[in-house]
Amino acid sequence: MIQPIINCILVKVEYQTKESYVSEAGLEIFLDPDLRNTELHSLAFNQTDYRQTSGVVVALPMGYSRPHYFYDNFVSEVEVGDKVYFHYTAIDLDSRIEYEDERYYAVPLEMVWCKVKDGVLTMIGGRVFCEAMEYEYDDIEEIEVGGVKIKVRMSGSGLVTEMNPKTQDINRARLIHIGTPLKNLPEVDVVPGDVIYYAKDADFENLIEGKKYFCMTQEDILAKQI
Amino acid sequence: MKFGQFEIDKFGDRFICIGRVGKMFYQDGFPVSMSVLELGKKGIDVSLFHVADECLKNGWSPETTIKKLSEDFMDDKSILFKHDKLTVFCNATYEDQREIIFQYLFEVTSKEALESKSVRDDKNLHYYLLNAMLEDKESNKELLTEFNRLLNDSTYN
Repeated sequence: MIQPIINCILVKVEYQTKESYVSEAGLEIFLDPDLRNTELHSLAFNQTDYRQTSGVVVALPMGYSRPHYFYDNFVSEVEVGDKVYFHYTAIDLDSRIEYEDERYYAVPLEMVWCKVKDGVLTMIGGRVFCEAMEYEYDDIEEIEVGGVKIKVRMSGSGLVTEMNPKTQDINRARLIHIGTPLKNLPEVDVVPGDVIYYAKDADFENLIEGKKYFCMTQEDILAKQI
Repeated sequence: MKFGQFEIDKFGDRFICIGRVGKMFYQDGFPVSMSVLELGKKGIDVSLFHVADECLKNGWSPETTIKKLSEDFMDDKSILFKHDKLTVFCNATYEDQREIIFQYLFEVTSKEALESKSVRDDKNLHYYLLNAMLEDKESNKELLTEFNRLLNDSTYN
């Protein structure tokens, strides 16, 4: 068997990229799995939609290097056989290892979000998952257009200013999963179910076990609603 | 100034994109090389230090950041990718990284900017103001204080 040297776990995935992708217009486009981030690929698709982001751990690293704060404070909770979810760029040609007719990928642990074992989801490396919240304005009015009732926001003079007043909350989300913080970092006083306010640009959406979550670090949590 | 999703500012005569390219790369899968090309067509530079900084803030190690950005530029030979500079930046301490960014944006070191005697005549005036506006950090408060002191100094009026 093979074993990664430092900081990486070895995972086995079902596929590197999906074979085909259905565009918003309903057109099915077949992909070359060995294609790099070429211009066509990037323009046509959102890479996060078709790249593989989960796999089964087959080997753990021999050790952790210490130049980076993440590995200084990392609490190793991953075990062989766990299903792990990771960043979409973790699986690529450069991380691929072929051994005895099998393909494995070396995934850096800092890119791993969580593990799933026996249906239980555990966060890795001080990450948290949050659920987006929707915000509804107070001044919504219902008008009838062509026999159809729609909700809008209107200005004082009667002009429609917003057609879709129900929008995703900015910087506010509901905490769903939280795990052990990194060593030497204080434990954040939040529990699953809390409404939290997060740092700018921390709303990185990932599909985990069929649900969409924002993946962020515990340090990105700025406040909680009491 | 915001150009679509990008955050762009003017430094001297240059327009430089200092935000969102990293987020688009890290979160949405939009290649940095494409952002560089597209913004380059409009005469806007992309600060790769800010891109790397955004990746590092998201928890990537220096090795991963360098590797992923290098891979991103691998297919496009038309872009001059300064691998060495990025390596130095990623492995530097937080304070040194701010200094590298300062030098890239303002083309002088922060020390030179502080020690400069001519405030009204050269572009250091803009350096003080812009840097103070960019981030509200302790170091910038010092710069702003120094700037105010120089402005109030009668010898420069």
